[in-house]
Amino acid sequence: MSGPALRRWRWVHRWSSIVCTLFLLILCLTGLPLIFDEEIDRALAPSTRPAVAASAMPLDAMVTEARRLHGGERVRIVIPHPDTASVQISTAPGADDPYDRLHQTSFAADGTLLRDGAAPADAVMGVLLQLHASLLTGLPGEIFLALIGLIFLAALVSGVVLYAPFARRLGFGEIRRTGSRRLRWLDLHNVIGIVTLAWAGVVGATGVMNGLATPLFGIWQLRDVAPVLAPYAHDAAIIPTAPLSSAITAATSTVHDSEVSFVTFPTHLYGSPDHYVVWVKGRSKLRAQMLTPVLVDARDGHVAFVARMPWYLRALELSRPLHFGNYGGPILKILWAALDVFTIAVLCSGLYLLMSHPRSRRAAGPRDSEARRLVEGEA
Amino acid sequence: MSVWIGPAAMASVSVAGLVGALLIEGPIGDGLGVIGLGIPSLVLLVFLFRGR
Repeated sequence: MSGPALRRWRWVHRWSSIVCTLFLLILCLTGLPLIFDEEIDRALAPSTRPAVAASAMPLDAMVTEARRLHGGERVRIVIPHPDTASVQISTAPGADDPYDRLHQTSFAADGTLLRDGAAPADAVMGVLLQLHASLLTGLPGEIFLALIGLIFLAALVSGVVLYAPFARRLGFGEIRRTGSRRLRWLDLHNVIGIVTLAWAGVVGATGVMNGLATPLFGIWQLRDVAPVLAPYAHDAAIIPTAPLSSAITAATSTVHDSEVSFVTFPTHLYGSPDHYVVWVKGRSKLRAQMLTPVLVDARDGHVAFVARMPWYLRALELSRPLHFGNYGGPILKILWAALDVFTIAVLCSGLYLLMSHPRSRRAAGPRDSEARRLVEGEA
Repeated sequence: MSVWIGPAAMASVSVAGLVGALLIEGPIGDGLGVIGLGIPSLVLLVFLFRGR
């Protein structure tokens, strides 16, 4: 590669790294506890109950009890958790109140009340998740972080291009024990960066996808869902008369080999005023990542519409486990966390290299000149 | 080309493990994920230990 081309790649690597490093540090630090979200929940609210299928839980009685506990509030979301044999029911005064104003109630699979209020870790983990997903600024933050993700991918690509002239002089994984401190940091940066490259690339690319989730769902709703719901748009959100359990049975019978993930009650907010939206998922490891919303009439319990997801939302759903690392057991999570820490090391070493960069060849001492030659690939 | 053998091997193992763990059910899938990320992590630890 010619000298000018190499300098252009150096420029891309330096500036893409400068732009995204601070945000990536926030993402790596907040992502670390989020990897162990389920384990933290279980540690704070331990459960020894054996797993129970959602179909075996008295969901209708729980819905009635949740409304009674909250003075007749509207039920908004029901989430069965078969693994922990529990059900989470969210209520709000109105059917169209924002989703951040919900009251949570948890029941055991036999219908006994477990907790009236949010889980102990929800407040802290919720803030961490919002910080990680949107820097606490909602949709603008999500789009901004997707852009940061793209810049991070540019930093990775330019880093790979710059790796070749570096590696020509050293063996794979070699960290020099002699020379300046800057050279050791440069070697560390290059070695950790190149070994963790694929993981960082996958997490970065899937992070971009996740950052675009809200606009992608919006496109789908406008193009595919809104026309179907148009006849109901002006109806008031009804209180369902069809039992929730029969709506779930109808939905899972309609979609082959599926089970319920969660149900939203009639609302104008991301739902229908006349229907339950039963979100079902497949039973296999791969298909469990893919949700299908089934609209079930909340008056008579018949299936009105199965909303098939377009390819870009399927891609988004498949990108989620590859971003969160929550699909391969606890050891995979520990390795995911280790690679997160290695990425923090790459970012910190990059910052050090940037701050210790010799300002000019004339001002640089002999050892800095050596570092500069190696970075630039000069003979 | 020899410059790329090590990085390409690490990237192939990582991607195969990540995708295999998503596609294959049960302990075999989980094991693929652990191998996919475990090998690069181990190799990195060896490099860091050697360069200490």
